[in-house]
Amino acid sequence: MRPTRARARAGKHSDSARRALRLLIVAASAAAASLLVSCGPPPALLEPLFPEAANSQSTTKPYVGTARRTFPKKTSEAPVPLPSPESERPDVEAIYAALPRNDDGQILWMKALADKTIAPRPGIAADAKDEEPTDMDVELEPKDQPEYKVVFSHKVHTSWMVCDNCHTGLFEMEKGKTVITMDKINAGEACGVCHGKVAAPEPTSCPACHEAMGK
Amino acid sequence: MIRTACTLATALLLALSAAPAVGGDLGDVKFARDAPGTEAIPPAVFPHSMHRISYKCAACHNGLFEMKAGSTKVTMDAIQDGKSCGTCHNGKLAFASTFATCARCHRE
Repeated sequence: MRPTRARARAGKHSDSARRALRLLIVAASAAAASLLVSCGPPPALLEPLFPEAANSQSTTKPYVGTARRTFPKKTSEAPVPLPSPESERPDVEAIYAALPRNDDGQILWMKALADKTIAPRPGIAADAKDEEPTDMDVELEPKDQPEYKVVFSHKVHTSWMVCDNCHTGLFEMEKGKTVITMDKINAGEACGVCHGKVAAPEPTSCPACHEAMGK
Repeated sequence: MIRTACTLATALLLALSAAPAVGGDLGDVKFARDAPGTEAIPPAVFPHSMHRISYKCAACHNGLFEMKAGSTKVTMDAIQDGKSCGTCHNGKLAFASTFATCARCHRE
C-alpha cells in the first residue's frame, strides 16, 4: 500500500499522534454530517426516511445575497422570432393556385387584379409608388372596315406598365403613326411583342380586341 | 477533368433538390445557354406568372431587363453579385441562389 501524505507524516511521529489524527478525522466528519442535516429540510429522496422533517416548518432563512457570477435567466417561453421578410411575404404558390383561368387554362390577369387575388407591387424598392393609370381609350379602325375596329385601353395597360415600356420604342405617341397589322402581331411585332408571348387578350380569340366580331 | 467532376456534382445536387410544381404558363422564358461545361445542368426557366403575382411589369422592365427575351444577358456571376435576378434573389426579398436552390430555376 502506498503511504498517503497524512500517513507518511503520521508515521514520522508516535502512535499517540496517529490516534489523535484519527480522532480529528472522525470529529470532522461528524460535524459535517450534523451541519448538512441542520441546513434545511431533507431532499425529496430522503422524505420517507424523515417524515416529520418534511412536515415541519423550516426555520432557516433563505440565503439572501449577491451571486459572484451572474447567469442568464432561464425562461420557459420560446424566443420570439425576429420579423423576417420571408415570413411577411404572401404565399405566392397558394396565390398561383388560386389564379382565375379561362377554359384554355390561361390566367386572367385583369380579373385577378380586379378581384384582388393579386396585389402586384409597382417596383422592387420598398417605397415604390404606383403611377396613376392613364384613362384614355384609343380607337383604331381600319379604313372602311368597322367590324375590325379595336378599342385600345390605356387604363388596362397602365395598370401593369408605365409609358416608356411602349413609347416610343414600340409605338409612336402620335395616333396612327405606327402602323399595326395582324401580320405584324402574328410575327411578334407591335402588340405581338407581348400578346401571345406573355400576355393573352382576355377573353382570348378575336373579339377580345375586335369587339364587333363577337356580336 | 475537374470541370467534369464539378458539373456532375452540380447535376447531382440539382437532381436531389426539389423544384416546386410551377410553370407551363404563357410567358415562361427558358434561357438558352452557350457556356461550355454546362450541358449537364438543365437550363433555367423564368416563370413570368409567378413574378406577376407580386410585381407589375414595370418593376423589372425596362430597368432591370429589356422586354425582348434574351436581350439582357443573365449570368450566374451577375446574380451572385446582386445584379440581374440577384437584385431580389438574395435571401432577403426572395430565395437566394445557392446550391440548395439550383433546381428552383434550373428545372427544365
